[in-house]
Amino acid sequence: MKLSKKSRFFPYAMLLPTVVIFAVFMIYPIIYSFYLSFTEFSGGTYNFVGLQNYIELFKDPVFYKALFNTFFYLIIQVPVMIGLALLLAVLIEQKFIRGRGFFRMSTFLPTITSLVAYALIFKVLFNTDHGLINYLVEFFGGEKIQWIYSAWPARASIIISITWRWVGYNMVILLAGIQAIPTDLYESASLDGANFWQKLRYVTIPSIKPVILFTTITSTIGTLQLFDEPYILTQGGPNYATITL
Amino acid sequence: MKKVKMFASAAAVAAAAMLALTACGGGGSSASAESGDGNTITVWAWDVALKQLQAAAEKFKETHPDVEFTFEEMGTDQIYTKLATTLSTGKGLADVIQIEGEQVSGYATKYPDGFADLSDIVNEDDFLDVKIGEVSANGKIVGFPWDAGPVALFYRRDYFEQAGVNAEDIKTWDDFIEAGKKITETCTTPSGEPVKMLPIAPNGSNFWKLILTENGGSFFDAEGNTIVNSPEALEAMEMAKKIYDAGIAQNYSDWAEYEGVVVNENVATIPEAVWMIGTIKDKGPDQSGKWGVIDLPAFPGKDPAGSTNGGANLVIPSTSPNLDIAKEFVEFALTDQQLQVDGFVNYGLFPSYIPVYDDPTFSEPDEFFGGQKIYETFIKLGQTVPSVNYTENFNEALSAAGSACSKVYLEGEDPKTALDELQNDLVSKFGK
Amino acid sequence: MIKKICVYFLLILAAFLSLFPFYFMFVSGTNSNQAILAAPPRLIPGDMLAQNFSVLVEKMDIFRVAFNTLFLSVVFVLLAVILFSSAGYVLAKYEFKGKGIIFGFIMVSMMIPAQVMYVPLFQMFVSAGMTNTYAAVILPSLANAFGIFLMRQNMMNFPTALIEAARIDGYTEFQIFTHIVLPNVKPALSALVIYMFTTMWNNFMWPLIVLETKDMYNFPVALAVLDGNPTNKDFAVILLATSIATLPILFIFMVFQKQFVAGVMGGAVKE
Repeated sequence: MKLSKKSRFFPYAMLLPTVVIFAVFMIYPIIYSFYLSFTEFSGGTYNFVGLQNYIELFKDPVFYKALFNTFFYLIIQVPVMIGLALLLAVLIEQKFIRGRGFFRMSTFLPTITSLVAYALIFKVLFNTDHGLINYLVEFFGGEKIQWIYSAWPARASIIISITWRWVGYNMVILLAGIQAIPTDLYESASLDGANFWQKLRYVTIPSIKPVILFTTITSTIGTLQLFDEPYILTQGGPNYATITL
Repeated sequence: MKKVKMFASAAAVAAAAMLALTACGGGGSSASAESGDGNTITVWAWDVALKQLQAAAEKFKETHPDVEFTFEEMGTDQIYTKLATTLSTGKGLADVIQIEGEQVSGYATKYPDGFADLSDIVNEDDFLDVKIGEVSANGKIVGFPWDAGPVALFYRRDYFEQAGVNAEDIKTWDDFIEAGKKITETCTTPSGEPVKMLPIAPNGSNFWKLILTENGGSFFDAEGNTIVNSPEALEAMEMAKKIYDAGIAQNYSDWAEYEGVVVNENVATIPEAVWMIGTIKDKGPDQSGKWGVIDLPAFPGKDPAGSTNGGANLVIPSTSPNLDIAKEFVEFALTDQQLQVDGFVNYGLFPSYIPVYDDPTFSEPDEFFGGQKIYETFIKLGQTVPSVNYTENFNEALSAAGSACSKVYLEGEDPKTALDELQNDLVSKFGK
Repeated sequence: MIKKICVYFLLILAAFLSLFPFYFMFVSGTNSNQAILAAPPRLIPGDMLAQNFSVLVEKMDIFRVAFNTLFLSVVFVLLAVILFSSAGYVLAKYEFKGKGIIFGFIMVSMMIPAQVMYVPLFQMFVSAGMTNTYAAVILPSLANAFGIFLMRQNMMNFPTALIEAARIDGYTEFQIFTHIVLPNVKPALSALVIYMFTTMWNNFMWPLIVLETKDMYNFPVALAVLDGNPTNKDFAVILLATSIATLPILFIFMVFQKQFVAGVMGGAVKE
């Protein structure tokens, strides 16, 4: 876009407050923290210790467990959640559905839950002896699962919890993408005799690829910064089986 | 132009709001940093301790009418988050701060000049050894000991009776296991499940740490060296495993489930500190008369001993502009006999100030506990607990110990292997 | 027909699983601690609401806390809308020196965990004598990369031809923004309002550090105080307070939800 001389400053003027705020409240603290990571706090002052903190980190076995878990969650949880979100979004968009607003809203709500309630509720659901989930497991002929007390089920419980909390959020984003797909694409697919899954495979998914990418990226960032669930549900245990970076 | 106006007015509102925000800065802030007039004391504490300190302040004002107080109620996590950020700047701190017993030396070691030296007002002989241990760091007394957490064995009289178990016969942990098997076989909870003997968190180190202290062991020796695979520690871990493997433990994983075992009457005993009296009365009000208290079972061949869990202390930041008057207040609040008795009666804050134990209140029977004189048990056991060196590495050691315990309980790992591994991990981490 | 039933079944199941925890939270506010901690917990409303509420108001100045939270959220949303829409607009529609670097920095900052910034930020506010103010809570939160990103993505969709036409009509650059662009990205603004309102409403760690007195606390911090005793917790009162703190968010979402979906779309489709 060509601008007159007078207007050339316009973008800078518009950005100025944002840039100042980012410089003061984001860039400066990050640089300062980065500097602190090369120091050690002892005797009331920060002493420069070079790379020692990093060397200690890489020598710490807990760090590798955390690294493993974070990537494990990433590989399993993100695809499961996006897939589920996509399925729900497609189902809500079926023509015959009444009460879309209700379904959309109820699925989105977990995103805004407070952590205290979230923690209490999931403890109730995953409780080994009286939990609702184990009740269902037994109902279908399975054996009670030690959700919190053994490594893999504990990881699974974390994945289930994160998925519960964030699936609606991603569903709303995907839903928005689906609504933008021209209806004639579906109509012609119907004329060609495509069933539900074929439409999903050949029309919906290709049309909203960028949206899927967007949700995958934001979910990945979220999982890399994961902290709440392991902290609340399993305290990182048992034996650091669920701890994250 | 309507839109322009709307945007402009929104911007104006926002700008005005910003101004107002900045203006609030002067009036809204009550941090001690600026209250250096020598007679306003800011206090951070949680829940009932705060109420008790407020009562103490009222009484203090009778002799010091010119002293003002500001009380800020905070949660434990909140206090620690604030301490971590404020101690490194020395600003924004209160004059008097409550800290859990095990956490004091961690902060005092990391910030050696952070807390005022209270050696001149704390007479070590007047307090339980274990509490003096909590507030000692760098060869100084950095906190004022407050409530203690001596541990005894809470037990359900009705379940014991039903199973034909005599409480007085439980002398050792081996007796405890035998009694536990009988109770698990005989008794059922109101909802029809078998009653377990005690609650254990299998992914935590609470129980092991509790009997480790009873057995005279600890995480660190007096010099701060890690000693988690000492013979005492191994014996405690083997006993913990024996108890867990006997199938008499009720699993729990967090505080809500822990309180739940009281509500749901799942267990026949709880080895816990004196403050559990309040929790049991609150969460099981209809269980009055069903509870009793006995000594903690001893290790085979050893004398009965106590243990400790919880309780808090008060610290005074050395940067406090009201240092002298804050010290005077803390000493008064925590050694005035009547205040200590009131704090115990009203809020269950069990004093660590030994002279106050002579007060008749502490030899009174408690109706909820079947008229038993339960406080005497805690006083007796509290004085047997030795001083423990917590060091700045306590939290890290505690979480690593939780991991070692979960391997022993849940994966059947050999206690010796688990503790040797724990020892190696901690030594390589702390360098000693 | 069978297909319809299956679809409805799945959706209702999803809605049930999502709503159940909220139901549990609201119901628990009317029950006793014994009922909540029982196994299984009581799932029907009890008669303890009045008593729990009177304990709550005794422990927490709920109206003051509600005012603080609302004030923080409203002012923050107002500032965020102004800042992020201006920044997002020029980042989407103008070419100028330094644009790449500025946008790059903003994006990278999205990946930095907030915890690493608390100590330097706190030191900064202490030296400025600005701890325990609303401004201290709001200002750092305005460094929010996601909001700018969302706005930029939406503005990318805006037809450049319209802007050119307005320019020929003699509008100034600022008038184009306020007059032409903003009115046409309302859905995006709704999405921004919901995101930012929720962010500030649930803001916990930073207010916990920078606020010092009870009269300044927002809901999350006040809830933490309520939950502060490590050895005896009043779950009924905590869950009642949590329910009260959740209601306004529910309300905001209901008001803006239609536009919200459309607004999120603009952000997600283009890239």
